[in-house]
Amino acid sequence: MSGFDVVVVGAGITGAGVARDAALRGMRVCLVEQRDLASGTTWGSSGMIHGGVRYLEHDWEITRVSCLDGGYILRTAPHLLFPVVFLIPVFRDSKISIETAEVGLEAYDRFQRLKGGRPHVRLSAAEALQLEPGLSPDLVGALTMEEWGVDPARLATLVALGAREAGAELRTWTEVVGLLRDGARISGVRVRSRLGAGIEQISARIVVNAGGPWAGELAAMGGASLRLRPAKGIHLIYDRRITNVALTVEAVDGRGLLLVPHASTTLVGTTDDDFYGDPEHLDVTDDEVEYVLEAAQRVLPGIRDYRIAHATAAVRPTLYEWRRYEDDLSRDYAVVDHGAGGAGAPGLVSVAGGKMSMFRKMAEDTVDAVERLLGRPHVACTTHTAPLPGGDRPVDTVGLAAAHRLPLPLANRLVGRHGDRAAALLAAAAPHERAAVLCECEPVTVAELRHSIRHEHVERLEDLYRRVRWSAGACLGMRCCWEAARVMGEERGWTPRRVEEEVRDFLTARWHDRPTVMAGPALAQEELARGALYSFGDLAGAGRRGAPPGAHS
Amino acid sequence: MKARAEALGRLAWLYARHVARRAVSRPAPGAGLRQFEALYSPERVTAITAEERRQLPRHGLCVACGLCNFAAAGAGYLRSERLPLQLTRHLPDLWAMRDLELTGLDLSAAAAVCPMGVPLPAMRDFVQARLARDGVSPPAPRALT
Repeated sequence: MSGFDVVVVGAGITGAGVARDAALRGMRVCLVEQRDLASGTTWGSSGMIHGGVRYLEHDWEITRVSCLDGGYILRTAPHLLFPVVFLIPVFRDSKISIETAEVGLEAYDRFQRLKGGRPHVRLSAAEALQLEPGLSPDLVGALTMEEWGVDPARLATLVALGAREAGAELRTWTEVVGLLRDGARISGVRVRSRLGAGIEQISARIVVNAGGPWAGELAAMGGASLRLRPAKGIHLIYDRRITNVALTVEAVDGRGLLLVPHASTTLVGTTDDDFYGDPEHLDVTDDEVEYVLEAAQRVLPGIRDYRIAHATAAVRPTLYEWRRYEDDLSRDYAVVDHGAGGAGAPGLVSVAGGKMSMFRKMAEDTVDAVERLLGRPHVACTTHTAPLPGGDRPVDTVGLAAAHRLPLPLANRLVGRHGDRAAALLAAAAPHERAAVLCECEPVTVAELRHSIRHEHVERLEDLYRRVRWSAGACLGMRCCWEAARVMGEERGWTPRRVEEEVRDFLTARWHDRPTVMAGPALAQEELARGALYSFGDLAGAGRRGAPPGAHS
Repeated sequence: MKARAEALGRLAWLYARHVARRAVSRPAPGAGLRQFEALYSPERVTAITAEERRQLPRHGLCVACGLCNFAAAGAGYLRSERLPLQLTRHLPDLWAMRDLELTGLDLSAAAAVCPMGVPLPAMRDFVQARLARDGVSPPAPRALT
């Protein structure tokens, strides 16, 4: 299909949000992404819906709007959110006193109700140590605060699928290689499939650039300028919750870091460094790992006793400012009409900056601008009330488990990812696959995998990882990747060679996240296991490196 | 600048009020923890004991080799390997283990073959203690007020 009102480039949380909002307002929308949904900055985010407590020093309205939007996500996708309860330990040498910190939280309490949050609690040092005995004992006291946690890839996926349900077309693994022009006006994009097909053109009246760290590059294709100051951030990921409360941590340079029990994992991070490289090829360095661990150790001295499963890195598309320290850079966002005032790229609109918790508002502002440029009558935005897929009604997990004779851990996880659509998923599944666990680390079933492959815009094996989080535990896919690839191959009619290629690419990518956080015998053991797996499947020789998957099929 | 000035002004006023209030009234010992428990126990965000804290690093040692499954037969959904790998990763979700036959596995035999020294019997005790302490009902869903 061609001749869209809007083509949105970039299917992170922002681009997906723009696509859904535009589609819900009746526009013909195409969402294009060079890799998978949510595979860039969104994938590497902390997975937090922050209400914006730090903005209380600058502008209470930003905090109010941020909390309000957090509440909208709770209303439209309640199954995805889980509370993250922070314990803010205050030490004698902390940057701010416990009284000052509590005043900030008293102010924040006023906004918590907007997002279904709870008021703060003040704990004495003894109480804090009773709650979390692993804390460094030289505490003055502690305060609690809460935010929402979310699987950022799942949220972005549901937003994109919501866009599709509203009529949008999704095109993943499709790279924009140029912009089309009709005279001076940008009139669409030239794209190339990364899965083997040739170049094609997608025409549209407006191109929305939601390319995240690639947004500057895309604007330049249209002869426009969009200055960003990209910042790289890493997270260390533990395969389980190593605490039951999140902790705020101060790094050696005074920056604030977080240790967050997040679903079945713990995230510690993030760093925040100016980045000048290619956002598609990111490495986690030993120095970055040490920086994060050193900070965390100050609050949780035993942190080094816990095994890190892997690490992630991503680049934030922060708006450009000269001189400011990276961490102080605003998380504000901008919607730029590159044709305004007779500038050189009419028909191109960029949205950049911002943070995940504001994605809905960013999308609303962008679509408002698109509506004006298209000269369409205003249609009210409904993304604050229209439920995301699975978010229509609460689900009785115990009842669902009983109805389908499913072990509770399976039902619980299914509801957490599919909400009120879990029942339909189970009803459509082959009975013997409903409880057939595919991955020993996450209770992902074959039924869920098939559902995802059929209905959640999955093109490659690694896409499945983002959709259902199989292989997210200790084995990181070494145990279950062949079975997942087999199921996917069955669904898609892949040749054995294509299955091998997908496994090779998947394991290579997962391996990339590991060596920096592993050492000694554990590293040697993993190298050995990896070598065995590769030789067993003849993976090393499968396909030419760099060739698109399917090229040999 | 106006928003910034207003924000700082409001915080200054709150600070003065806060200090005055703290000067005349201090919470009773233990009141903070009781308040925390009232807020978060229903969602299973509860305290970790000192003994659990000592034990937790070893819960994450499993490398998914699967040897323990050969040493101990499974009991329904429960297999010895699933205890460290899958079922105990998410503390607030332990309630979902309420129907599993935790005593139906020979976890001592499983632990005996574990190359990493995962304390499987101790993990079972950990789960049972937390279920007894925190309850086995699913957390109530949160809604906007």
